[in-house]
Amino acid sequence: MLGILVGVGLTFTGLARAGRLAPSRPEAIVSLAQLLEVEHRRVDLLLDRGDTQRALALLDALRREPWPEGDLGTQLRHDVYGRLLRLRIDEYPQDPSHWTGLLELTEEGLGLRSDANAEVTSPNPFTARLWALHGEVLEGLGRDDDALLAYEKALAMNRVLLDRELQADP
Amino acid sequence: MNHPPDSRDTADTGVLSEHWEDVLQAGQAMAGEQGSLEDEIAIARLLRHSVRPEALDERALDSIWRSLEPEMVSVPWWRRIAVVRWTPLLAVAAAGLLVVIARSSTDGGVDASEGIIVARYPVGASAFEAQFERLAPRARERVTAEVDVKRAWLRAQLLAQAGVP
Repeated sequence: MLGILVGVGLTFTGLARAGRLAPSRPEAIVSLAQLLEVEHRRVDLLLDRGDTQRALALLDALRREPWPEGDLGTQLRHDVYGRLLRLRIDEYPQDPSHWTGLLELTEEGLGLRSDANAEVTSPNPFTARLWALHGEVLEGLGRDDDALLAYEKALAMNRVLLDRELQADP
Repeated sequence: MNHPPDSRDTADTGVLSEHWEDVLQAGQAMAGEQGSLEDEIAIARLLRHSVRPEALDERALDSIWRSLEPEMVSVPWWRRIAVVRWTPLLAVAAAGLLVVIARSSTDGGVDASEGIIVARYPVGASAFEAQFERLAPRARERVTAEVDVKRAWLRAQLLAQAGVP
């Protein structure tokens, strides 16, 4: 009996951590999506003007926002992290000292710093891109084996997505 | 697009089959349609290569090694092994570029003739970025649609709370 209860408890805990049973908070997602829509446009404008530093500051401020749990919230968050990381990597491509800071950022984005395992999300291009950026940072640090694993995760996710696109547009 | 009869019914005409391109072109001809099929063919080749990677011929392999040579001159042996291990992965990742490039140009620097994919573009990070550019727009549409559903639900709840029928 105790085993059954423990098993059920673990199942629910696992599902909740995967975002499947996360409390539904549509107001949080709606307001966050509206905020992100505006802020992404501001970043576009800043980049058009060549003001990369302010664009980076804006994305960094967004990163510190409280993020709702669940699959959709995670996708929105990974989109912001991906954009921030792409910009930061491209900003100082020849400076090896910044790779360590970027690694902290990719690990934070993927949920690798708070948990033993990365967050579980359904395949989406934002998470795939973040895994690829994680691989890029690891490659920059000379951790080739870890980089390979990260690239493989990104590629596996993109395969699923491309397959879906084909099925949607035969 | 109209499909030719039985184009999906037999195993040897599946999208991963090498006959797929012929079937696609035949279907287009039957439907009396005209225009380039490069987008569809590029995606089919990419998927086929992802599922069953095709071997590079000697010429293509030589070309890849020549491009790697300058980077490997002062690289220790254990780094060379890593590069060898990565080559198939990066080749598959580079195949993603086919989709993007085929959309914009037929002279984009990637040669996909005879079913052999030869990557002349830098592979790795840029290939993943190209894949992201290809996949992100539809994902954003899906996210927007999901948010719209939640917004509509919220509006209905607020109206119900306010007693509006």
